[in-house]
Amino acid sequence: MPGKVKVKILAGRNLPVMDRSSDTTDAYVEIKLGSITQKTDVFRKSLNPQWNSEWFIFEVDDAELQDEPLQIRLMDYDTYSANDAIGKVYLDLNPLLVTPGISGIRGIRSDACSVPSSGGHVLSGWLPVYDTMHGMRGEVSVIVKVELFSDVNKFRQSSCGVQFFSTPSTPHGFKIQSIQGFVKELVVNDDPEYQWIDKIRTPRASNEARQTLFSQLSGEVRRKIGLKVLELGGNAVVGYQQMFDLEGVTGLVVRGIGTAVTLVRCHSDGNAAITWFRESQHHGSGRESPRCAAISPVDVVKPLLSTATVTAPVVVHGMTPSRPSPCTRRSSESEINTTPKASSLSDSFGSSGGGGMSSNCRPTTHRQTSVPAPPTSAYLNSDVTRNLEILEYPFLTMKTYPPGFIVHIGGMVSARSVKLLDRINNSEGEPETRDNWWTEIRMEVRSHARALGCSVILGYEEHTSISDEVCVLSASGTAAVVKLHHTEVDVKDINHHGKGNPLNADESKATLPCRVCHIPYRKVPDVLIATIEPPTGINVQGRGCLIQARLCRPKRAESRGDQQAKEVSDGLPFLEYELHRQLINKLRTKGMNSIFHLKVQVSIGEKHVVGVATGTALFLSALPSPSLPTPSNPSISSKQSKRGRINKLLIEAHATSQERYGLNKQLNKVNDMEETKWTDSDDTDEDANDLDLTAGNKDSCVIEIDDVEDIDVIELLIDPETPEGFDVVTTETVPGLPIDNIRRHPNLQAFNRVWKGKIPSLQAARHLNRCFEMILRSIYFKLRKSRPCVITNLQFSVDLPEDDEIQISVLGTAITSFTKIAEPAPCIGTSLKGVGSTESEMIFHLEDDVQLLASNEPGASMAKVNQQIRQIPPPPPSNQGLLRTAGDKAKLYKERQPVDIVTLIHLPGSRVERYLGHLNFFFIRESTSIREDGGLSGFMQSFITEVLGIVRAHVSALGGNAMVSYFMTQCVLLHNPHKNQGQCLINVGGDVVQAVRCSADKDV
Amino acid sequence: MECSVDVFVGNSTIIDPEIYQLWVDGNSAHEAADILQQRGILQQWGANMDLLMSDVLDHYRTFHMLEKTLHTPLKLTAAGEWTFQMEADTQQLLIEKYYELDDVVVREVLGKKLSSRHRKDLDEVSEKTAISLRSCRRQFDNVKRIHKLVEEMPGHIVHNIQHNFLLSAELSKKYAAVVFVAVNRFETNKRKLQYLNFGDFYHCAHQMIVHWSSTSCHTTSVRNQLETETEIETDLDVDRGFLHDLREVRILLEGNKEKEHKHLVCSQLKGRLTDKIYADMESSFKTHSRSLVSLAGNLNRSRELRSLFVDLVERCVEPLRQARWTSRDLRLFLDYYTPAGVQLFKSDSATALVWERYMKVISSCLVKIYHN
Repeated sequence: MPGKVKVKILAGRNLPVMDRSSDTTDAYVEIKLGSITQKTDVFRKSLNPQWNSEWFIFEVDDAELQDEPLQIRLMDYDTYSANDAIGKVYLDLNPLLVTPGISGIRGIRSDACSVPSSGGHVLSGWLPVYDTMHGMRGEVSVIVKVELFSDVNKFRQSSCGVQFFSTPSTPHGFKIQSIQGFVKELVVNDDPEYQWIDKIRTPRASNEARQTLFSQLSGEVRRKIGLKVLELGGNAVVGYQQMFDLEGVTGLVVRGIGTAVTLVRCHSDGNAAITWFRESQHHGSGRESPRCAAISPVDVVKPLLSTATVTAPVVVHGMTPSRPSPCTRRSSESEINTTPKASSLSDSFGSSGGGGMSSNCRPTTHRQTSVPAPPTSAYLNSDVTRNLEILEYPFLTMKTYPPGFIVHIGGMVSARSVKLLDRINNSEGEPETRDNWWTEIRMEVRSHARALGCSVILGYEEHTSISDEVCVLSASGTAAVVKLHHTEVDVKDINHHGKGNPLNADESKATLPCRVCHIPYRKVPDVLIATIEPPTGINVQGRGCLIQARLCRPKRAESRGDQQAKEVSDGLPFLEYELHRQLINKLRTKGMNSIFHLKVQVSIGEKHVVGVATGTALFLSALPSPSLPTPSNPSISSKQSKRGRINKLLIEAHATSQERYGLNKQLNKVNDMEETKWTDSDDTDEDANDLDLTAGNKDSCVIEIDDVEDIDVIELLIDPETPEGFDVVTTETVPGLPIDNIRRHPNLQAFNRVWKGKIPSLQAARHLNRCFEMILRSIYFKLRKSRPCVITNLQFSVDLPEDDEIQISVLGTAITSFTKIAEPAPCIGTSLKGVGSTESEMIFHLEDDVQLLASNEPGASMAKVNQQIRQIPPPPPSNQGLLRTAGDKAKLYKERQPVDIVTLIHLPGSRVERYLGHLNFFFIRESTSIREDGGLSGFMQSFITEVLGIVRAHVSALGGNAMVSYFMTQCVLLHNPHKNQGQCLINVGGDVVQAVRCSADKDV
Repeated sequence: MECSVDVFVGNSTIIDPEIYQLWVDGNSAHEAADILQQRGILQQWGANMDLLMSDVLDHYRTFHMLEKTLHTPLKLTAAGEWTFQMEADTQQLLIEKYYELDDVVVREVLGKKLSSRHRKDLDEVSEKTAISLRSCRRQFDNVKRIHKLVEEMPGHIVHNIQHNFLLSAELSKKYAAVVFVAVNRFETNKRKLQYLNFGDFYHCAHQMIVHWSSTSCHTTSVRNQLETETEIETDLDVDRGFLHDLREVRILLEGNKEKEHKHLVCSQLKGRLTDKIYADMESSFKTHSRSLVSLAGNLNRSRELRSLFVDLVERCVEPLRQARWTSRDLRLFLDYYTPAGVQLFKSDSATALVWERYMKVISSCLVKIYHN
């Protein structure tokens, strides 16, 4: 069934000069949707054309509506030669398709099922005209309306009405009625950049072809996911993540994952009980019982894993299949070397349960609790028999959950697999191979979770890293046990939860019991690691802080293909193990015992493999106090003094951290412990040798110092403290930080930081560490004038584009106080005042003079009359001028509301009123005058600035005033210094919202 | 640390007023970083030079991007302009500082043709004024840009500048003075005028804009009024009708009028001036008066108008200075000289008005430029 799109082109402004001889432009507009193109008249010789066109009407299929972007292209008319392109606007129509009238759900039982949200289905405003070669080129004013006819055809291809949220939580103002489960889609296509035609077309044509294709594929993925959601009976997707894998010659993969849910508007009277996993309701009780009893992961998972393991070392057709739990076996066997092979699987969950992230001591626990398997396998079977996707993958992509939803957190689980990109097998429209890869890895993650006795995986994410033909796929999440049935009590908190600090919003509520931190009947872990936000109500002591482990391993560049894939694959476990060790040691040095919102990224390049784990360290009162790592150097006993020095450093670092993050209550105790420990290990070096990490001597953490390299490692453990006035976390809010004035009336600043430099092959790890430190410090330095400052949701992304180059992109949201940022205000204020007074003086003088003259000369009365008459026109301008400089400016600015962009789910200091749709842009910018543009930095800075400008313009055109859950996932920068040429791709997006600033008194 | 890309882009454009000032003053990024380092920024924030340099470069790139927009400030503040998001205060700061003028530099630019030839000579200006060349160029270009836009624009020049460039009234008036001098091609660079600073010209130009221009409301005759209403009004042009009418004041040169004038002035000034100055005034009243009156009579010739400042200095300032008049003496003299003239035109009120309009500006200018 068709929909009707109506487009009106009003005007353009600030267009570039296209005709050098006359210094003007003869502009007209082409509007294209799908295969239909329409045009406006040519508006001659103007840089600010006024077309005021009629409505252009497009009648298209609704599937097409979802896939195709509306393309508005500005052209310069040329009588004698070909018309030149000025630039383009890509309009994603999806936000306009979700309308209150169209629920988009087949077999709707009541309106409650539809997402009664959002979209004035009109878009109007000034949109920047963008050209891939020249950047921003003026603006065009358009109005776009979409009229949809609802379609209940069973076999339809469209899924209009399913709303997408990149927000990884319950959107504000909604409640989740039921969760249908994990949805995913994958589309494969040829990359236009690598098609033969690219050799003969202009860079602009090529870039535009790419932009258009990306836009289409993105739409297609969303449409297909939407269809699945409808099939499952949901009406929205939350925590939607979309990734572009630029595989190069082998093509382009667009992946989308999310959680299908049924959203309903939050009504205060809504008292219906909420069912999680509506589809699997009847399973509920049956499923819970086995889980309450502890499960022996060994028995359950063994078959699953072993089958996979068989294929692991075998390289089939140049493709290295995934090796399930790669780090696990390796680390346990070769590194730790203590556990018998039989229990290697359970071990694996010690280190790989968390990509090697959960505590080392767990294996023991596993062994202790071995319970008959039958119930579990039955559960497994039942899952297999039920061919439903959702049960196949009990994954949720949200990061925050309603209070009470999470019952137990098992820990982080992750899986990686190395694949060789194969150009033969991957023909167009055949996403099976890629699908299979992901299926494998998801199965593995699921099995890890089950081994931990957990039914679901929360905060699930998928990533890839590609270098040449080798591709590393990673999936991670947090294994947990959740409560499937919910009562209204909990639902009411959703509001609180979305709005403020989950930890502080509900002080009145009883804090969560400690059971959240572990799986029943298993030993309470020393350390809890999770990819999600800290659950509501969890008991935190002190404040959270940023924790990051970075690691760089060299890779031989000579090897190709299979060889390389194998090498990467073999190296990964070591990387993960080291990363984990670093993270745990750092955590202990900080005196904390849990990490939330952890993201581990493994990037492969030509010469290096880099692993970065970034999270927020916390002290949970429910977990035991951590002990400080103790250095020991069995082999180099002569270096006692050095060891002593290191130990001192560690203790100092520990103390500062305690002081800084308000863990003081613990301080003395830990110090005492430290004291004794130190003397212990000092006395007998052998003791340290005997300590077995895996054996479960959890109360101590020993760092072995075998050589100089290791000493460096220890020095790397001690991060320079964040400067006073800064709080840095990867979570939504700083856990444990009370809501103060800053956050009540904050100034929000999402920022992108891009750094690209060389890593020398020598001491790469050290250098890498320094890069990260420098980047963090530069961010603090940049924001120095707006302290106190809270940096939340800090995300790092590492790429290794060239031989020895590393590109680090940082994304975050700085929350600063409003008054502070306006520091320039006083000085301008005074100058304005001065201006005002001089102006008024001048007017005064003028009148004075006139009066003087009049009184002096009787004949002047005539003149005076004249003057009065004639003065009628002049005063307004001068008055206006006066006002303008002082008060009016501010007023003008207020009318033009700024658009806030945050990477967060919520808008601190504001309340989200409406969600207006999900935006996803793909931009390409190319330049052949990099040097003239101010170097690569200048090129990047202007590009990102323009991209943000375009995002803001689109937000505003949709009627929003903010964007939440902003992301920048791809930032691929290619540079050819010899040709003075550079190209960059960026994928940005987020949820457009309309927000209202909380009034001061309301909050106080 | 070696790097090829090092950028920080926030959703709202971050402007550091201190670094912006350094940029506006024409410092290179390295110079700016050095200056900031000397100011102790590194100790204050515990940073190193690399961080500072990276930060300064980041700001400089932003300024560089902003510069294009700053050429047309209206675009910066237009609704729906989303490239640079900042508070109104910050916008105002950016614009105001960018268009800031150094009086010494403007003095050099004043009265010169704003051509590229002169732009090349700016290094001399820079040398002479100790203001960096980049800053001189910026000021030159700003003057040129504003001049080009408002030259042909009807209405009040100050308002036009304020409206189109969103500058403060004070700064707009500076530009208005420069444009006024340029449009009327006043001679300002003769050797004898070298001692005058920009403040002097600024004062004189505004006196003329307020009292002599077509829009200045001092319409003297009905004929004139009708005429000006049909034309497009701008206060950039000196009222031609007024200049034409000014010829009438030559009556004051006639023997008996002159004597009467002298008598009136002398009788009132007696005792108010020191004896020495009074004696000089009495003896050379004719010379002084004649130079003022004949100047008025000739102003309708454009060449005379252009050399107004030269004439004032040569024929009024220098003789008086030789006679060691103080500026107070001059002011006193002019205070009585003008009304005395008005009395003489009793029969012809129109001419009296013209005289007064003329003398008002001339008196004010003379007093202003009467210094060393």
